[in-house]
Amino acid sequence: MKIVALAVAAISFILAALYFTGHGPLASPHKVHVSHGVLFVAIALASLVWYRLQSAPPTNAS
Amino acid sequence: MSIEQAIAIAVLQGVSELFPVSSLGHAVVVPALLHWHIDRNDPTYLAFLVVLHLGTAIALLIFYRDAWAKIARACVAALVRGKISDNRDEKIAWLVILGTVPVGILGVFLEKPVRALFGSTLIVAIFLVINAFVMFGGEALRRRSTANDRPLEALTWLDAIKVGLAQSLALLPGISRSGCSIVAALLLKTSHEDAAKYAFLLATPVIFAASLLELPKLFAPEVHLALVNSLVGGVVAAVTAYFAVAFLTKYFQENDLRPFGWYCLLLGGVTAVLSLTKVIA
Repeated sequence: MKIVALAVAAISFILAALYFTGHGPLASPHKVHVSHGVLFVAIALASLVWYRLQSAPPTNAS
Repeated sequence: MSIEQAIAIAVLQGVSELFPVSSLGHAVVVPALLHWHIDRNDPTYLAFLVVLHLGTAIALLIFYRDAWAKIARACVAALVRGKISDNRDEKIAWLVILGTVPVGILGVFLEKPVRALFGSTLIVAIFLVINAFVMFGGEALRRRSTANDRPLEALTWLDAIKVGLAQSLALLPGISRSGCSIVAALLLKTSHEDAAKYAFLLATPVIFAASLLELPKLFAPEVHLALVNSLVGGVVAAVTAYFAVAFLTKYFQENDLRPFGWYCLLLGGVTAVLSLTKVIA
């Protein structure tokens, strides 16, 4: 699941860059879609949070 | 738009954003019923709406400042630890964050096309009637359940997504964000009080984000002409929203959604009839 979180973050950052530069998929060509870009940045950050929340060291059962 | 209209719309926004009666529905229906000819695409009106929403969001943030402080601390603690603990505040914090995700995603992609498709007064009136039956149905199903109230922190991550999806139904003008969130939480066996609190906590980041994304509209060239209306409207919306959430928090300790259902049924029904008979546009 950590790999999935990183993959989602990477893809989301790429999609955000595409929307901010007017090349977003399924969007009007050459039109900057700020809200779509912000959304994908938020998804990317959320994925990194999800990655972080899987990072605690395992606890030993006593 | 006169200053009196601006104040009236601000009060309407502050109340209807939080009461389970659909602020978007009222924004369409009330000007139509009063024969106010407001151009909803005018840059000054759009900027005015941004300020109203910001005012409402700030009011919610202030009312729930203790809860938001706990949410912020809980998030930081979980990130530092690398794991979400069983702490009540931490669980609620992540339930709020997760519940915001569906409407965030769906809102960005669907809000404008949905409003364009369903923006007419008649369709909004029909959705107000549907909103009424959503609340009646939710209350009936909740009363039929014999289960004791679950505390908010007992909700699962999937439950948070379900409430978030219910909140997304408010993209349809005439369907209430808080009404759907409260009904969804009630069907998950929470109390009315906890359902309302969860709904208002969920609403805050959504309203804030929507306002911030629309912030560039405040810098359109003609907006300075409506600066006074916007500032007065923002303050009025904030004050009204604060009193609205204070009232509803107390109201849901002992009462339920049915009176709001009757209100939406009456408003939607009357508006539909007036629209069909061409008394209003």
